[in-house]
Amino acid sequence: MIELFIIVLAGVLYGLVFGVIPTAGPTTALLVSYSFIPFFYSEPYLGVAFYTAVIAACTTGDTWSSILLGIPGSSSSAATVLDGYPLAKKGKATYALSAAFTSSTINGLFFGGLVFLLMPLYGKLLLIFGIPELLMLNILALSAVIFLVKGRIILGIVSVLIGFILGYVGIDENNAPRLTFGTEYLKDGIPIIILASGLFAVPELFEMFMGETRLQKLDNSWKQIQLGVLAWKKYWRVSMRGGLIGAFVGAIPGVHGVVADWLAYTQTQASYPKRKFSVGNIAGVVGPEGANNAVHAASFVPTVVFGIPGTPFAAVILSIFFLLQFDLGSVSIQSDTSFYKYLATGFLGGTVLVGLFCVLLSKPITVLLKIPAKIYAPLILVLITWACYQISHTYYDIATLAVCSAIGLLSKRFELNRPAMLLAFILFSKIEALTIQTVSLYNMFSLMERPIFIILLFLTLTIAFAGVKYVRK
Amino acid sequence: MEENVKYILAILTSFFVMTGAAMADYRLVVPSPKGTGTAIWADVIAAELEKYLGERVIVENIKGGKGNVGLETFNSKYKDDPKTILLAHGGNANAWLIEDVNWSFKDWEPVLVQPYNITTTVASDFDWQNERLDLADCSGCVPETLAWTMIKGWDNINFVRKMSAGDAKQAWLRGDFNYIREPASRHIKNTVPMVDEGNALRLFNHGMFTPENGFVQDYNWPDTPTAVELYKQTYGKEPKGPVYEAYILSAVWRDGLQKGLFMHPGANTAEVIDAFERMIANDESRAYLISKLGDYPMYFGKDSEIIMDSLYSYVTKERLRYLVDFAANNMEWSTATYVEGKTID
Repeated sequence: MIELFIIVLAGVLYGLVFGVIPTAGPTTALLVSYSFIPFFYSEPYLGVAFYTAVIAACTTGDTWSSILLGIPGSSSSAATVLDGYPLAKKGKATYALSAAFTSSTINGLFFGGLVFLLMPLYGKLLLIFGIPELLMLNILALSAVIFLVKGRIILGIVSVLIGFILGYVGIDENNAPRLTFGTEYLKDGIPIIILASGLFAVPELFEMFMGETRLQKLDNSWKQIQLGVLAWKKYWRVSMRGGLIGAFVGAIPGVHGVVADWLAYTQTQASYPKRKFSVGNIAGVVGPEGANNAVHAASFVPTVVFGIPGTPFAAVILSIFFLLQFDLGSVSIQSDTSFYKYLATGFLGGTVLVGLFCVLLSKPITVLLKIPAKIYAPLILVLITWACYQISHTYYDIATLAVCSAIGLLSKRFELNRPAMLLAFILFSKIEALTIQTVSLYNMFSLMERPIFIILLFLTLTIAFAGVKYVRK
Repeated sequence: MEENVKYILAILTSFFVMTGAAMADYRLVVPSPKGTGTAIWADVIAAELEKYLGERVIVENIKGGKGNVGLETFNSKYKDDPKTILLAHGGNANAWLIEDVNWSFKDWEPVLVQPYNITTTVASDFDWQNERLDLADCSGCVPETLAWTMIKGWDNINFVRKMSAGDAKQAWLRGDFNYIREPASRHIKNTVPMVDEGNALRLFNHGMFTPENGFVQDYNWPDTPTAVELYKQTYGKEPKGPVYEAYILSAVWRDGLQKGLFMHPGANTAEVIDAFERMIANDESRAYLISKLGDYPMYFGKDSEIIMDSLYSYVTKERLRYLVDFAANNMEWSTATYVEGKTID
C-alpha cells in the first residue's frame, strides 16, 4: 500500500513538472518516460498506477502556464488561456488558478470515478464487438475528426490526407513494401511514438526555444484561493456540463481532447449570452477546465476496452502498457481486475494529490515557470530523442524523428491540423486491416444481420452529417 | 539564430556521446519489440544468465522489418563485438528460407537452441473436415497454413490477409474464428480450460523436434496427434507431395529453431555456453526456466550445432522450391524468393 502511494506520488511529481512546462503536456511526459519503463517490468501494476498518475497530474498541471504565461500547458488547455490569462494580467492569477483547479479536480474525481467504476462493464461489450463492429467503430472515430477542422476545411482535409499517407508506410497485404524507401525499418510502419514526438513535442519546444515568454505575478493569498473556490460554486453547472462534454467526447474513440475543451468553452459562452468572454470572465475558466480531466479519464475507455486511442497521449499509453504486458483492447485485459484497480487508483489518487500540490506548492511551482526555455527545451528534446532511440537502437529512429519533426514544424507553420493528422495516421492501418478482414469473412447479407454494426453505421452517418453542419456553421 | 542552432547542436552531440557511452557488458539483441513472446523469453533468459556470467546482460529490442532490422543490425553493427548475442526465433527461420535476406544463420555460431511445439485448437462445434476454415496470414503461421492445406486442401481455406497472430487470437475469443494456434505456455493458460469444458478440441500439433528422428510425439501432449498423424488418421495413408514437403521444411525450421541464440565467430561463445550449462545444472534455475518458458529441452554448444546441422539437412532444392512457390502462389507473398546457396544439394 505504501509502495503504491509512493509510486502515485512519484507519478504526480513527475507529471506535474511536465504539466507545468508550457506545451509539454501528458504526451511529452509519457514519451520521455520510455527510458525508465524497465523499472516496472517486475511490478507492472505499479507501472499502471504510475502512468495514470502522470496523466492526471499533467492534466491539472497544464493550467499553470495557460493562466500565468498565456501559453497552453497542452493543446487541451488552450481554451483556458482565453479568459485565464486576462485575469492573471489583472492581478487575479491565483483566483483563476484556484477556480480552475477546483473545477478540474472535482470533475476529475466525479467523472473519473464514474468512468473507472463502469469500465469493467464496458469490457463485456468487447465480446459482442466482432471484426465488422470494430471496423465501424474506427470509421466512426474517423468521421468525428471533422469536428477538429472547423473553419479550416481545406487545411483539415490536407492534414487527414497527410495522416493517411504516413499511415500507408509499411507493407501491403502481400508483404510488398509501400513508401519504405528501400529500408527494412519502415516495413513495420512509422512508430507512433516517433510521429507523435515529431508532430507535437518538437515544434512546440522549438517555438518555446526561439520565443520569449512573460510570466504574470502570482498573489498567493488565501482570499484569492477562497474566491476561486466560490467561483466554482457559483458556476458549478457550467463546470458539470463541461465535465459531461469531456466524458462524452473522451469516450468516443479518435476524438481529440481539444474538441471537448472548445465545446465546453462554447457551451459556457452560450449559457451566458449577455456576458463578455475572452476578457477575464471566470466562467470561461471554470467551463473548459471542467472538461479537462473528464476527457482524459473518459479517453481511457476506448483505449483500454477497444485498444483504440482517443487522444495522442492515449496512443503512447497504449504502447507503454503493451510493454508492461497489458494488451489493451484484448479480451484478457477485461477480466484483469487488478489492472482496473491500479488504473483507477493512479488516476483518482493522482487527481487528489495534484490538486493539493497545486494549492500548497504554488510558490515552488512558479519557480519552474521562471526557468528559461533555452535551458529546458533542449533538455526535453534530448530526452525525447533518447526515448525514440529506444525503439530500434539504430539511427533510423533519429532520422525518422528528424523527418517527422520537419513535418510537424511545417504543419505548424502552415497551420495544418496536427491532431487530425495523427488520428488519421493511427486509424488508417486499423481501418485498412479491418476492411480486408471484414470483406474476407463476411458478405453484405451477413453484415446486415448484425444489429450493432447497423447501429454504428447509423451513428457514423449521423456524426458525419452533424459534423458537416458544424463545420459550415 | 546561429547561437541557438549551435546550442541545440551541442545538446544533441551530448546525446550521441551518451548513446555511445551506454555500453553493456553483454548485449542480447532481440529482433522483436517488448511485449511479444520472444521478448519475454529474452527477458527471462537474460535475467537468469547474468547470474552465471557474472556480468550484466542488457536486452536490446530492435523493432522493424518483421525482425530483419534486428538481424541485420547484429550481422553488421555488432559483427566484431565478442559480447553480443542474437536471439532468433522460428519466424526469422522461415524468413530466411522464404525471402532474400541480408543475413544467414550459416555465418554465425549457435549457442543455444530450444525447439518448441505449436498447438492447433478448433471450436468443438466446428466441423473442421467439411466447413470452410478461416486462416490468418500471420508471418509466423506458415507451418499451420501448410498443415491445414495438407489436411483440407487450399480450396477449402479462406486465407484472411492483413491479420496478425494477435488479431487471430482476438477473432478466436470473439467467435469470429474457429481455430487458434498458440505455443504451449499460452495454450495452457488460455485454451486448456476451454478444452476441459468441452468448448474446444485440441486437434493437432507438429510434435517435438529431435535431431535424430525429426518430429516425434510431444510428451507434454501425449493424446494429441501431429499434423502428419492426423492426415494419416483422416485419409488412411502417408502424406506426400509438394505441400507435404514444404510443410516439413517450414515446420522443422519454425519449431526446431523456435528460439535460438547465436554469436559471431571469434566471440566469447565458450564463456556463454559454460554459463548456460551451469545455469541448467542448477535445479533452482532450471525449475524457474521451466515455469516461465515451458518444459522443452535446451541444447547448448555441440548439441546446438547438431540441431542446426539437422535443420540444414532438411533444406533440399526440391523442398525449398516447393515452399517458396507456395508462399508466392498461394499466400501471394511478393517477397518470396528462391535463393541459391541455402540448400544442401
